[in-house]
Amino acid sequence: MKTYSQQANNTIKKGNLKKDSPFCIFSLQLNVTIPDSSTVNSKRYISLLALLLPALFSFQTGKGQSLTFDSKSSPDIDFTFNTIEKYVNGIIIPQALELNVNAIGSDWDIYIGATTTAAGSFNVINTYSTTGLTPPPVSILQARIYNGSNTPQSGSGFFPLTDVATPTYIIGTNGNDATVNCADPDPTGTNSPGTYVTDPECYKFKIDLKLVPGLNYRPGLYTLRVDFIIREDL
Amino acid sequence: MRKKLLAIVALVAFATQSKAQLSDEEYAYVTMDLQGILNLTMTTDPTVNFVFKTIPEYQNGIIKFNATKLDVDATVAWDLFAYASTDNWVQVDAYSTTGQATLPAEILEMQSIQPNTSVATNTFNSLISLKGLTNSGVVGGVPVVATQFLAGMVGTAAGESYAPGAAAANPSTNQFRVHYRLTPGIPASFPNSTVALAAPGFAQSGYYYLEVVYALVEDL
Repeated sequence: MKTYSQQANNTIKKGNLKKDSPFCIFSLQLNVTIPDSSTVNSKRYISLLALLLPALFSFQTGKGQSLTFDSKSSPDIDFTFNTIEKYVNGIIIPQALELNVNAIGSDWDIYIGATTTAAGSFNVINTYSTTGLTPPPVSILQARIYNGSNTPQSGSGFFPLTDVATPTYIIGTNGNDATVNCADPDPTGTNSPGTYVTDPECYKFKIDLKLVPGLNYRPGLYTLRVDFIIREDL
Repeated sequence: MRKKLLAIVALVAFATQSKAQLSDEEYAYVTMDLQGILNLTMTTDPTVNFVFKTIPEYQNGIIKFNATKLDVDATVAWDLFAYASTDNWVQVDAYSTTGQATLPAEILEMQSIQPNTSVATNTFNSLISLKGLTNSGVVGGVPVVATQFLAGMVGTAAGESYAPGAAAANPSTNQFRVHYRLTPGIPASFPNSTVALAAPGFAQSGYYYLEVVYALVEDL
């Protein structure tokens, strides 16, 4: 048996690091075993390895494409209802979240949805009473999106949240959408590559959240997670 | 053959892995704290005065319409009941040396303009004597079947409490106006009272006061 091993190490020499500096080691190892009785030229297998390596690296780099939210904040947003007026009129938290998009080499969609243990209902942490409906539906939480070039969800109105399995699209749809460029005469719903750094009016989103419980739900402590997902438009 | 197979594997790996859909996610963690609220607001002057200085007033009595207005704001199911904080009126001053100085709380009659929709045994749906502390059965603020309810009743079954609501939005169920009436008669024996005056059977002239308690409680 002959064993061919190719190992790629990307190592930062410890001698060049300051004390307590973080460092990382990237290691990729491929092992190919060829029977001694084989008549195949082993050099050809090495050439095939050369073909395989770019394929594996392409998975890491995504062919130079990327879709990211910058300045991740993952905020904790608290709504406390301690007066009848707040129950009836609701609480609005303006600019609860800001999304900054960097899109390289690909059209994209953004959608929003709620993640809970039971789809469509708040998670119940604790209740303070024995009367009233529980758990409240996630639809009592509403969102409003601001963007300089507007989106299909922009405007003065709030829209109710749904479970993440049936999300609301802020940009695009769940199908393949026509490309809208930030430089277009009407850039509403821009979904082409770009960055908030140079074009904040198209790639920066501000999210207002509003919660109107009304008086029918059982007093208690409830939670949910709001997911904002940017995805390649395919 | 093996060479071709490896080449195909490499190409398939290249094709499938490079087609993975790009995505990124951002999360916001939302907490909703629904605190229980029970607000009872008296929007009228809490002092209601009855002055009897003429024979017709003694004979016919005095009624104070809508003397007390109550608003209930609640985020939980609730009951509203009333009782006197003592068994008898408190005499502050006496104007004569004859007559009974101990007047039972029951000489005061009350009526709520909004009938109690629950099937409570004791209500204020019509002008009726207000029960004193002992007769009301209230101990430590906890009502019993004998307690008089403006809304709801003892028990937690359906129909035995009022639903959460705001007074401004639900005036027919969450706003209460209460009439008061005193009818001394001549002699001042208060014939409408459910508790008779002790001997000599009529009230001593004087100045008295009584405290009426309105209690809003969660239906537990």
